[in-house]
Amino acid sequence: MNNVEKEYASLIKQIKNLGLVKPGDKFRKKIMTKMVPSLSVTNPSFLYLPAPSWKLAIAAILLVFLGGTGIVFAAEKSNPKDLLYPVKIMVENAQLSLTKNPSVKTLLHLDNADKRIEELKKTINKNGDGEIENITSNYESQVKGAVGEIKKVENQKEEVIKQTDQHLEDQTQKLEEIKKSAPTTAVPVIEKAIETSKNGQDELGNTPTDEKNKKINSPSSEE
Amino acid sequence: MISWLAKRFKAVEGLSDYILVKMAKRGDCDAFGKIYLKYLDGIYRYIYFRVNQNEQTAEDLAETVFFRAWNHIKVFDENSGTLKSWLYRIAHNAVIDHFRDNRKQVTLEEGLVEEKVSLEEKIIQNFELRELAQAINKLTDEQKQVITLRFIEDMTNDEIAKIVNKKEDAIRALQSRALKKLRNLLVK
Repeated sequence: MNNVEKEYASLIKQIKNLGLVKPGDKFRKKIMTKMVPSLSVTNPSFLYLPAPSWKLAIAAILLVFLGGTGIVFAAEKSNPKDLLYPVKIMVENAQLSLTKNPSVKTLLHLDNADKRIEELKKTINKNGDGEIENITSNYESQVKGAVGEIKKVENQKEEVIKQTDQHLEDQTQKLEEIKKSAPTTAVPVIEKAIETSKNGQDELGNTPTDEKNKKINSPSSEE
Repeated sequence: MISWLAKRFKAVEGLSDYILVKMAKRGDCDAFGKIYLKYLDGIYRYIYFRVNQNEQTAEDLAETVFFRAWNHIKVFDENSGTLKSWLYRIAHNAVIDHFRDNRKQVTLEEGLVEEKVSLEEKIIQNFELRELAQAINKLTDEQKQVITLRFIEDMTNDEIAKIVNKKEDAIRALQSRALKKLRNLLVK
């Protein structure tokens, strides 16, 4: 492949990232209420397959290739212990592995981490102790994933670091809030998640950026 | 192997659509709801990139598309093309109607400067993609259509040709010109 072909291939990859543009939840809900009031988003019955496990397995493969289907939307709303929860996690992983741009990957990891916090909140409200460790462990890997991706970012690195740092700060605060109402048995794992978030922020502070390097090389250029 | 699997999955998708269309034609709202859930994101994106990335217009037109589809599903002929192509064709016509009715186009900046919150919006704000989105906005309407359908919605040239009512060769030429223009815009 020559350089021009490589450039086109890279451009096409970037264009594909724009597939993450979707209508807002507010609009989606508005239309759904207006147009299809009888629609139950928790019922993924459109696959018309015999056994639930087959439905799940085939839906999983379909999602990787097709994405954006009704089942994706249904799975997005699922919580741990729901039938579609593994699909939700699988979609997240598929989305990450199909995304090449490190700054987009960082955002995806942070968004997934946000979802884990929401799930943690719901699980604690429902007294679902059993799932807490799995959720916080996934949260931790999302945070580590986000911080890991930042190291690969080439353009506007400082801006991405700033956004991520703010995001992690918000997540730490949310986790602190959740900890207050969590059962005592869940407190150590939540504290570990908070620790991971703070460590992530520390690591961001030590990540070199082009801007920092420029300042080191020419300290008075911006003065 | 991948292309074989993709073909198989397209066949499964086609079958799923066939059943949904049959049910929707009998007035089954639930079946139509599933069609809506399946295609809303793609239809919205297709419109969004054609209407200068204006969210409000894209939402209004996406709503129009699904209302038109619901009203005409009974006359949809499965033998003349896929449900997907039919829905995108409705979207294509809705955008043309919109441009005819509103000659004043909203600028890209109006669509992008507002405060954003969702992940998708953050992604668009991401520097590289924002630049790309701005570059796409500088393409002609036909080029935007082809880029969106071919690379974002992963359609074949044959499918695109049916939606925009052009020959496959013309689609290939448009695609090539659009990529070249995008590359030049991004290099500048």
